[in-house]
Amino acid sequence: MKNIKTYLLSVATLIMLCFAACSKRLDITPPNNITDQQIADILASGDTSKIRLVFRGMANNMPLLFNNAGGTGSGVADMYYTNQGLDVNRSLEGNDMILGDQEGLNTLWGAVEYQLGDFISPASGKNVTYWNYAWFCITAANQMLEYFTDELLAADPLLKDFKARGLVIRAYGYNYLMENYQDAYLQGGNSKLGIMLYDNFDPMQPNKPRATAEETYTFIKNDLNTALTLLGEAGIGYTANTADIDLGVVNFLLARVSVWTGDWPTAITACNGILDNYSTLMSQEQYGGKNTSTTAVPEYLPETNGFLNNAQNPEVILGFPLGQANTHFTTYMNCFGEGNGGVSRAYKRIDNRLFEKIDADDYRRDCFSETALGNYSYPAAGTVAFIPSYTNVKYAATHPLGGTDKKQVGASTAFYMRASEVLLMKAEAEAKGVSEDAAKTTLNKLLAARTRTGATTTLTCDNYTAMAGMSALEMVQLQTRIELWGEGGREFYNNKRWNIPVDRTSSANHVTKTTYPVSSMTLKIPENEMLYNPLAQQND
Amino acid sequence: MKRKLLLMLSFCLCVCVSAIAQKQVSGRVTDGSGEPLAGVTVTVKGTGASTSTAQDGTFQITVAERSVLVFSYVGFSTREVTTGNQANISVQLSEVQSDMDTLLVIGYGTARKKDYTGSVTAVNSKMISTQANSTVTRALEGVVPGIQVSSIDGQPGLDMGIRLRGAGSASQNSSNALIVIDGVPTEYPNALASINPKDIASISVLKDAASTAVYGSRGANGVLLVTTKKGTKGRTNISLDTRMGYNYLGNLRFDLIRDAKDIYEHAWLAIYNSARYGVNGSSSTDGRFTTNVQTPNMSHEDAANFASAHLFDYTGSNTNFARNLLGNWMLYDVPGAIYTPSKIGSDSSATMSGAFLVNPDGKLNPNARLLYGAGSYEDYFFERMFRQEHTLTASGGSDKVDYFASIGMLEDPSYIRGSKFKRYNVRSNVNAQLTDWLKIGANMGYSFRNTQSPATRFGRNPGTVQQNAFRWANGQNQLIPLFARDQQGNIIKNPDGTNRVHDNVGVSYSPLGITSGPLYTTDLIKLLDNDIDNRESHDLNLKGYATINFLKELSFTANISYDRFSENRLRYGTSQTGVVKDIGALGRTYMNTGVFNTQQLLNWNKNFGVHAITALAGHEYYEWNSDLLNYNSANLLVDDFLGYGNFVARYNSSGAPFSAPGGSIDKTAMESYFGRVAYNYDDKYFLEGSARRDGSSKFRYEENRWGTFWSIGAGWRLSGEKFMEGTSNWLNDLKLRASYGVIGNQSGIGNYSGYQIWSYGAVYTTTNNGTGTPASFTLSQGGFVNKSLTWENTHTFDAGIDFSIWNRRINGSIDYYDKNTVNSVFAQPIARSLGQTSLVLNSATVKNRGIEVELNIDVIRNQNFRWNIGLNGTHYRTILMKVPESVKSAALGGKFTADIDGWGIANGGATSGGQIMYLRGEGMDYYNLYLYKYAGVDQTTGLPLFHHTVTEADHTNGRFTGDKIGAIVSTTNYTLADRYSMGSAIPKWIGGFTTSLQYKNFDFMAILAYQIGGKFLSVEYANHLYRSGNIGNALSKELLGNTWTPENTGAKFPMTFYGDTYYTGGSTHGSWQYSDMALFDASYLNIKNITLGYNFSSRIADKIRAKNLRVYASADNIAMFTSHSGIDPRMSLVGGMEVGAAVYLPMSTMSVGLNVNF
Repeated sequence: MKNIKTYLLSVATLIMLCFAACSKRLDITPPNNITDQQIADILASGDTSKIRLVFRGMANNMPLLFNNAGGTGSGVADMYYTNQGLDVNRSLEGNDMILGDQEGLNTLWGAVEYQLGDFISPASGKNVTYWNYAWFCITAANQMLEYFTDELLAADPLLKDFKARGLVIRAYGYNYLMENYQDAYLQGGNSKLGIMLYDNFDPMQPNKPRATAEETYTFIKNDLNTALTLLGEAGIGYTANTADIDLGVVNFLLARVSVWTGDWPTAITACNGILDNYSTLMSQEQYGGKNTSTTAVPEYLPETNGFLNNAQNPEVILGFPLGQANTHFTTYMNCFGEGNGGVSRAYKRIDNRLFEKIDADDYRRDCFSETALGNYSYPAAGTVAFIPSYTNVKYAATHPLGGTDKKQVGASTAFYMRASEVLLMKAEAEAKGVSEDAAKTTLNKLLAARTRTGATTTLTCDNYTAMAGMSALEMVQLQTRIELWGEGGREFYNNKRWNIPVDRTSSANHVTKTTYPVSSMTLKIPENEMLYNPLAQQND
Repeated sequence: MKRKLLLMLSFCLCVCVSAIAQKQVSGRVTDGSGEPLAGVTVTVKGTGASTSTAQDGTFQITVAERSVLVFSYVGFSTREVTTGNQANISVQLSEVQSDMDTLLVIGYGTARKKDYTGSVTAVNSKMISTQANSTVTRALEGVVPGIQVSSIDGQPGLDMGIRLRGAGSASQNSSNALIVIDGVPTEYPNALASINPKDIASISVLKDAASTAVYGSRGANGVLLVTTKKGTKGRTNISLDTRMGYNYLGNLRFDLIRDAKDIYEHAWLAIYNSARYGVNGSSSTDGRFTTNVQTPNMSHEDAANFASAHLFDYTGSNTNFARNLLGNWMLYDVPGAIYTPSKIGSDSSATMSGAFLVNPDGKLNPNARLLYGAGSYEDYFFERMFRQEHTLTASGGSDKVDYFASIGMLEDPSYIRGSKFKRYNVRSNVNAQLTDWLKIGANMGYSFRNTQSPATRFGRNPGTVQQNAFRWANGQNQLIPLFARDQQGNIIKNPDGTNRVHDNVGVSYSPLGITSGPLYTTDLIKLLDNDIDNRESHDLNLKGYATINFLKELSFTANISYDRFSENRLRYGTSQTGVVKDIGALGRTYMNTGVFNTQQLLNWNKNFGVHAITALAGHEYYEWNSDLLNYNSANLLVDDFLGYGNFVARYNSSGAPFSAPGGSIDKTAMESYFGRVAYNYDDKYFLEGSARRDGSSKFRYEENRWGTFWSIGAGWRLSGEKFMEGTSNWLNDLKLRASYGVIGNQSGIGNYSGYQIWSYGAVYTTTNNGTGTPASFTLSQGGFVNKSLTWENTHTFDAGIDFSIWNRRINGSIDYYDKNTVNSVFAQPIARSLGQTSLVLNSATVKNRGIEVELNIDVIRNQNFRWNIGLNGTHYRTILMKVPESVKSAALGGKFTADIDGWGIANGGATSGGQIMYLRGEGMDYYNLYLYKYAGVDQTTGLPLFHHTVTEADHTNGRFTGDKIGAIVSTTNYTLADRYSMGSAIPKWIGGFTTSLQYKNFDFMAILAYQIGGKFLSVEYANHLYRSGNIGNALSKELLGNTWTPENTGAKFPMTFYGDTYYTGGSTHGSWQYSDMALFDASYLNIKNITLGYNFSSRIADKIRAKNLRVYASADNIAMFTSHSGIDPRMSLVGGMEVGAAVYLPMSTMSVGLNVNF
């Protein structure tokens, strides 16, 4: 017995020793995720194809930030969690878009924005989402850019393309901040503060104060110009792929920044570069939704609508294909949709004052239903709702793109930059920096493309009824409002830089007839930044 | 000399004879209610001989004449009985939780409370099993001083969060108490829900350094030791415990406007106000924040007539009318009414004339005849559900082997449709003394759990979604009936004779126009019946050990355990209604969690004279593995058929809240060395020290991986001193004790701290999403990694006094504690422009300081009547002591803001980061709420006023120039509203009250829990019930007669305007922008359990050959008294914002039961 006892004790001691003092068992690497060590191993491997794969993977994220959901909050299907939703909110904060058709619909998504409630105070949740989205872009770009050393770029020119993408996104983020968080450059913003400039990602680094507006735009333009150079060296020009960052995208941003800052020559040069490659504009057939069936049972097919199907839109410079594209914009704008553009009655309608300025021979007038579309049975729930007059059919679809099931309505492509806006930016730059005639010549190209089939005369600046007596700049402004109605919140931003306040008092169909000054279109720096960046200075 | 020798021989002979003259004594031990107590240790005083009682409470032991038997049992008073001449002894032990003689289960061993220097509360099995809970966690509330439990919902079968002595870390998620089941730490969220409470012998709650240091890095937040039952020597005892009853929603309900008359009259007032005083129907939206109260738009008469005529078609305009938020719901027949259509189409409605529903005096037309009542959802969906629970146990043993086995089943559905819980469990615990030096044993448990939760979203917070029945019952317009109504108000029938649900616009009749749809275009009955969120869990606990005794005082024990939790989760969204109507969606999740643990323990016990030393040295290895596989699909062919072959969509859940296909693997490990030495001098002076060194895989780098934690404790039993002999007539025991130690915590550390994680993804398009082939790949770097993160260290001091007086009729303990976590893992806020909004560092110091009091009183104690009262309470504060300078915001005077602190283990809570909820600063309460402050009603406009602190910028812009900078003013301009400190969310006092009575064969027990102070923000009230103009939503009854008008200037609530101009209610002025209007006192009193039992006489029990037979009736969660209707402050321990709206309140239970022992 004693032997057994000794034996068991020995075994127990052995067991104890086996389980003891083996710190190696505590070396557990993440079993489910790729780690920095694995990435470092690839980068140190000398395997060019693998290294490119890593950098390409990082760079592929960059264009997706133009098509972002979830960067500003925890959800995706919300007007504040997607860049498309943020843009729609901006569109509701102007003169030209109406939300719904009656008072008492205050619970609609966008009601606060439409009623011009508080969206600029530092603590407002309707402010900070814009701040977060832009910094989300800047941070992602900075995280990537750290990896692109000069040595690497010298060794592999292909990587220049990848670096350029990061620079473009960073410029985009900073420009987005400037559009929202400072007065427009040409309206006094040039002498004010810009944004704190970070060119690397390190949350431990000291806070920075806001740079001046001048410094900020220098930074933005430098990023864009460097990107142009890098893309050129990498052999990237104007690509057929609308979902990548190419010369078209960089020049578009450069043009946008240039017209904002009054750099007319650069704007014209950038626009010309794009227009040389995007000379074809949408046709009447491609422009907006068309009812291919009866009034009682309408059918608007997205396949033929260039705003919902990039394949039918030769103007798209930056856009994303079906499946990859966020479709929240379509959800908010489509009156036949099952979400916040349709069945919930949050119809997006045009101000009658703008509608009446659209020439009878201008087919863009067909993008809005002057009379009520009437009752429509929304198929998912079988709910019938009344679609009122002046509702847009620019983004109307009763079916999903690529499908026939009406309950799946909403599937579409997405676009963010298109050639018509380039024409308008060029015309504006010419009106300001070259001559009125040059601007009109450019504008006429757009008007010609927008002239209704069968019209007796092609529309021009001189025969467009509503433009009689207008300056070239005013013509550009009017045509921009018509052409870009509902797109990218541009009316809000343009109102800011053109110093046009919101004044809906003379509208016949606005639900909330109110006014809003340009001075209140500049957002305050959000609370978080003011509290935890002691160097941050609030806007006046 | 010879005589002396003879005397000595005679004496020795007597001694020998007396030693030889031994006899066998048998008996039975019962508790206060007459139930047998199994496992009671029976010791012959002075000899060390002992035995324990069998399952039926009986024992046998051989003793000398006039021996003293000592009966001791965890959670009961120890009794000493002199045997005398009796051969049979009946002993009744009284249940006392803090008796000095209580035997305590402590870390890796046991100790007598009398000797112990640590702070431990023991909970006995009766306290646990009396209550009708699916998880033992709920039973602890109010019973253990210092404990708080919380759950975001009332779903049975899912566990709660447990917190001891406050939040010891900088976030709730890293402040959870450690749960140890039969010696093995568990980190599975529902571990306690997997155990049948009737299998639990005792729970020890370890609180201070002396008791928790042996758990080292996991002990800082306290430890719950759960010990399951084991067999005892004696003949087999078979016990049946069966209980049946029903679950229901108790008295805790929102006091809503549910009377149709009140709803209409309130709507009338809102329309009247809008028409007469509104700017375009409401407050101005042009930045002036005013109304036309001073210059009314029309006369009283005109406005009153207007409101009566346009009750159903006023939408904010005086000229353009359409169906309004009342949705054309006309629940009355109004004789003489003429309905003139005001609009055609889907939003058609009518203007009333001839006779009104609400007359121009604002009162319901007395001639109106009610066709059907409002509020039908609550009537239908809050049901009484049958509950049953049965447990059969068998136990017994011989000198060498003891065994315990149990099987049990529980069916515990909630009162809400779509919620069920079932559990089947089996347990077997066998121990065998193979030789005098070798003992082995195995404890195995298996549990099958099936939980059907309302199929809302992935977390447990039900939220404002259409699958949440509470959102409907407590949220939607109460006029909308569940079943469609015809012109006469009768329920419309389907062709098959069933009631037709009003699930869309126009299904019901209205003389005004098309009736509005319900909250969502959904048949809620069908949705709750057919949607599935089912968790089927198989829990396996395997434990085995061997103990070898050697060298007299030494023993070596090797434990090995493996726990396996396998959960299959099925999610299904029906194709017949709801969010995936016509499509259907399927989701499945397979998750396995395995916990391997092995311990090697060396124990040494040595007594020499008045000195006693016990020592423990041990090693432990712990490994936790988890893997998860997730699948989803959509687009079915056959309704409600859940086969995989019935779904075709790939990577598409079509709006259902199911995760995309994927999986995860996780693994962590810990290695530990520990020891403890306890010294006892003459049962008067006690010293104890323990230390533990832990290594954790959570830390990537060797230099941060290992931590050493320790404690020392001392005790002094004054009552054992000679100078206290004079008090012995009233003071039975008095002990002072104190301990200090440094305990660790790694809960706030991620599983792979120090590793920079990369996300590898893909971009798909429609053409390749079906095949899953990426169009391109993406790779992105994760957030910032702090490579120097290390263990939190909590310096814990505890001083306590234990006493027992007046023949042990009053027992009690008082403790003072101070827990100081000096390097808490703290997500310190940083500016977003630095790339993220917080930085995790070991940079905060958080202190929890408090007192605990526990008292047990035997008020009456005689043969026929026993009455015991137990009281306990605690007060503590959680204070932030130190933060880095960079956190201190100059704009906030050196303080800083903090976001919502959702608690994962309490299963949910809002996770919306970036929403400010607290203002923090050094020396301040950690959970100091920071909200906008409602300042009453502006008497010139009727609008809500908010507090604002005047700034220099105000003066620059010409605002409040008459007030000094820094002055607090009130304004209707909500964009200027400032947040203010609202005080700590933590209650001033938390505690419980228990009482038990026994009179002859009757027994009675009551358990109450309470809380005094603290604050609870009700998002339900703020977002919905107080938004007075939103008459399309349910509203609080408090609004009736209490909204401001020029004639009712003392009203609490602002003027009500038709429609919801989101800030005119005063409780919020935007998303997450809450004022203190819905901030309520978090005090409550909950009657947790009342049980009345009756023990049949042995004569009746004998008829069924039972040893005893008891019947009882029991009520759980029978009443809840709170400061406000419908709020349950237990849902949050930190202020309530994370709870959200549309809450799932805990259920109540009424049951009757039977205990029988054979």
